[in-house]
Amino acid sequence: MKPLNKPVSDPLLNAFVDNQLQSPKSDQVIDALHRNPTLKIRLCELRDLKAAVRHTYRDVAVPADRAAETRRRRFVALRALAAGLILVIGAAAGWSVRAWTDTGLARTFQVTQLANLIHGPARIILHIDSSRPAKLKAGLAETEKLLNTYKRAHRAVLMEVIANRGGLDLLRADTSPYARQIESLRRRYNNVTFLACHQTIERLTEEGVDVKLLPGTTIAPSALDEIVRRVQQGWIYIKI
Amino acid sequence: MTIFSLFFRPHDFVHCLEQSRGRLYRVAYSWCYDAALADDLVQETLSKALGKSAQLRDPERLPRWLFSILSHCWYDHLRRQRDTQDIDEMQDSMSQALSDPQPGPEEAHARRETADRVRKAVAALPPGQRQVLTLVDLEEFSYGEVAEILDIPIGTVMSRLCRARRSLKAGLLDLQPVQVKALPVIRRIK
Repeated sequence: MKPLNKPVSDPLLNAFVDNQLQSPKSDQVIDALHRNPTLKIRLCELRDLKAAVRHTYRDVAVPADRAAETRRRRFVALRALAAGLILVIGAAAGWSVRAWTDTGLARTFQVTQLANLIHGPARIILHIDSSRPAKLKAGLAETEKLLNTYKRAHRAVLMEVIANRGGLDLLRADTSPYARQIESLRRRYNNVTFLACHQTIERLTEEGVDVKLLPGTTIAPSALDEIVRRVQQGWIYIKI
Repeated sequence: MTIFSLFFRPHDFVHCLEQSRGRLYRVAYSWCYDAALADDLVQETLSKALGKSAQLRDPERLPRWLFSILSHCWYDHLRRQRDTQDIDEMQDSMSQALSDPQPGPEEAHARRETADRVRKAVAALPPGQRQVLTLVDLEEFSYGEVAEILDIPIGTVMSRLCRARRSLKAGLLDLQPVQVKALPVIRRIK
């Protein structure tokens, strides 16, 4: 180690006191301290000053947090807004918010959706009840986007896509314009389930329609019952 | 907010903010020497942090990120007081008043209290030096972290720290002038 060939400057001594130096610079300062009593005095003064500053503010009384509750409420509100945004977003894609007439169900939905947002894994039930091409396209697109988003984020998600009324066209082998895309999604993701409403199938059968579903489609007794069950379990509800 | 920040924000993020409040307050107080203003600065900092939570991608950076927000809140306050953009060596009204004190009896008594003397000496520093000194001494940030928080070069951190400690040393020595007492004379009685 080469000794320092000039006096230890104030910036260098400060850096030494603050543990900002690495070897060999710190070793050089230590070596200089051994040989220079005046430098030791400077070092002690700096350390005393540093300790005095730390000590001075150590016992500063921190006032009570008057805004903690406001911040917590705002945080929950922001996440609730996010949940609302998920429901209403994609107006261009044809999403809309369905207001439940049952007050109890709506209240359960509000509480459980927040819990779902905060504690993972995410669970989402996406509901399609219209046969309009734009709705079918939007439903499938958003399903794929959500699955892909969670996958890229290495976060777990369970999705159900449930179709009733006109939305059943998405899952019928004879009417679905997206049979290949749905099959592709099933192959790439094992965490999405496509469900067809049995009550809609029954009604169509009574009208003389031979309903054949896409391979791998699950039948739920009632779309409404399935949605209510999932919402009460804390799933996020998205209506196309 | 991205979908990620909405669904993936850790539930304890608000808790982490609240845990940081004491540290933020002590530093804010050391900067402004005003309890009410320090509290306002901290509330503003936490509120902004909540709104900008999506910007924090690495949780390890939370302390530096919070103090960076605090620093900006403090700068905004100073600019509202003074219509100037150059705050590097700006004297705020407090440091100007304290750099040339006119002590009364109460002040003389307070001077005997070490903590109060040191606080006043710190408060008398220009804001830029005050910030660097307290971030290094109170929060033990590295010079590099302080440079990041205050968005200044590391060389500026070192020079401000140096000048701050020189001024503190001089100010604290001035407050307690050395008194030479007459030594008793020992006489041998024969």
